[in-house]
Amino acid sequence: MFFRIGNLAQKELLQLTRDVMILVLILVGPVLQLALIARATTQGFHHQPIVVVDQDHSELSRRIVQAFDNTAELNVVAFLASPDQIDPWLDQNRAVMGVTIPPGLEADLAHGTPQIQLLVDGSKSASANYAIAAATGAINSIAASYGQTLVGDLPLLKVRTQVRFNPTLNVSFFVISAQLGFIIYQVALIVAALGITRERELGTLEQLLVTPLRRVELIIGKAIPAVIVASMNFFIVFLIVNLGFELPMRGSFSLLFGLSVLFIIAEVGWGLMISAFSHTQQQAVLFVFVLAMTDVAFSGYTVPVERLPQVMQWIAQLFPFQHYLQILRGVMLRGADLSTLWPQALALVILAVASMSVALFALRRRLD
Amino acid sequence: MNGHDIIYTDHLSRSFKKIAALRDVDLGVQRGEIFGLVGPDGAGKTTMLRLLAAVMVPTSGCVIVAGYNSVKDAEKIRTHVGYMPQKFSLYGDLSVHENLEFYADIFGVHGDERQRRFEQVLSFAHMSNITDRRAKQLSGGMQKKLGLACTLIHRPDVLLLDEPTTGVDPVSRREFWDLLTELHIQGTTIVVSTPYMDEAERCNRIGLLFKGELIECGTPNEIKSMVKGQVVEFHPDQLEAARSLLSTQPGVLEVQVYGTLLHIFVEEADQLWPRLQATLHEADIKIDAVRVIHPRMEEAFISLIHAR
Repeated sequence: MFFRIGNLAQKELLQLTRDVMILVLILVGPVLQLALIARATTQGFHHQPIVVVDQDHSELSRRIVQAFDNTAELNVVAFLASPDQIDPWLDQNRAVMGVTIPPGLEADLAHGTPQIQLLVDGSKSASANYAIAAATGAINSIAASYGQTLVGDLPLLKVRTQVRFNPTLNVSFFVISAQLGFIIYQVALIVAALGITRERELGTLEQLLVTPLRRVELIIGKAIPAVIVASMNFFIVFLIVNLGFELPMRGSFSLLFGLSVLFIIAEVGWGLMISAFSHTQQQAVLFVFVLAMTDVAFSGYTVPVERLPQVMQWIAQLFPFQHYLQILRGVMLRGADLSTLWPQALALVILAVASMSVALFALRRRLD
Repeated sequence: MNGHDIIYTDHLSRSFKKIAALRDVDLGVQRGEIFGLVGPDGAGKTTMLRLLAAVMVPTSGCVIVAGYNSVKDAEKIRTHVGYMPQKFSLYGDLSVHENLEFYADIFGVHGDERQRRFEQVLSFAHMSNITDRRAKQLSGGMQKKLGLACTLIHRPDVLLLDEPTTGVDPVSRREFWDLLTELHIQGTTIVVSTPYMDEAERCNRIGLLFKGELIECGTPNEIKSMVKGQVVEFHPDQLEAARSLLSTQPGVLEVQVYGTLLHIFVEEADQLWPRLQATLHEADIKIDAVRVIHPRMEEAFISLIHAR
């Protein structure tokens, strides 16, 4: 039995190396995607123009402005006389943020309630967020030298947390780690979904069914190559992310790899389910596409899971991708281990077993 | 059934949803014969072969192949049977040799035996010198032969072939049948479905499937002698006029054009022909080179179906 599964898996891998398009899809595509997205997210928000209204003219205010200008994200392009001059700059897209340093800032510091106002264009939420994050970081670095934080009153900013795990407030870490997860996700799903569908479309499936190869062997023999290819992909993409984009690796690599394989198995189960319902490879790819959009929506990639309605939060638990992203960020950025990540790891175990079982059941019915 | 039957079916029926694809078929195939399944498209030939190959479960009735029941002992049947589906495809991106290796692996052909079988089937299919070629680069006829080679790798006693030569040029078709004849001489039982009547004539016995029923079964000569009709061949001076005139006449089963000749298939030539001649004469159509020929398989087939 194991020999036959091995034979099928070996044939499958051999075929993958012959199919140039699939190889491009699996290896070159993701790398390109990663490079482009990472470049776009990091370069896109560099040197954003800001304007400053310094009404304090103190040593402290000069240091703050200097600190803004020193960040990679911000570029002070003008000093204005009063806050109401900021609006035209924002309206005409000449600046993404206006900073107002009120009079008496340095003096107020002694009383403990200094306030700096950041005015941003909310319609460009992404660039606004990046600008706020960069400004906050800059202010905090100065505040640190005063032994306190100056921005306690700015809402939405969990400054302390961000500073601890991402001191430079490099927002692209967030995007790149999500992209790393998504690439492995895609590859596992595509290879698994196409494996059986390709044989069905070519007509070789019926041929396989009259061999002594059992249904279960067929399904497992198709799952193994997908797991192998996606795992290899993990290595490649991880190296690129780690070396090329300097995404930190603070936790244990073997833990991350183990959990990644678990995630891949869960996704391969989904892929096999797709192959149970698809008649052609084209259909399978479309299914993958739709599933991927759903997964991304529930993953916290675009909207944090906690902000979804309660029912959707429950649904989100069913998607392995969401758990995996938490693991990925936890291990890489925070150096977390199983003592904190066990709920996600357990969820992956359950989802992997569940998706594989459903896939086995659906495919066996479909093949008979 | 009788004692020599390696395959037999008992009241075999198979339905898809509400539609019956096969109804109450009792078929017996003797060990070592080439048995042809003929019938128009949709008659149930593919369903029949898939039931025999134990890839499909009967709705009612049973299939016994080499002593095994197709439902209870499907796995055992698979080691005795080589089945080549109509849409047989190879792995186009693998080479001839890799395709063979894969099937040898799956069928558990190992050791010294393995190499010997490779040489056997490759020389049998005349492919020994192109083993490195990718399967998709082979011609249609070559692909069919490689398919047969893969089907033969585990030396099945029974070979089930679903329209193996459809879409293959006449030369390759002949070569393919030469291979089948060779297997037949070696003692393999072959069940082959075919839409070609010349292929049906090469079988020991044929079964005629029509609308899911096995309507006749016998040797090609037996089948042909079941037909009472005759074919009259002649040369009219106005081909189209003669054709349209005769095809509406009562008693004429079929009119076919063969170049400048007309073949009319009638039930009783002696009675009908004088009347048809008179009709042609009235229409001012001159004819010559008249001869009565015995119906071939094709006419037999058509007449048996018409009789239904």
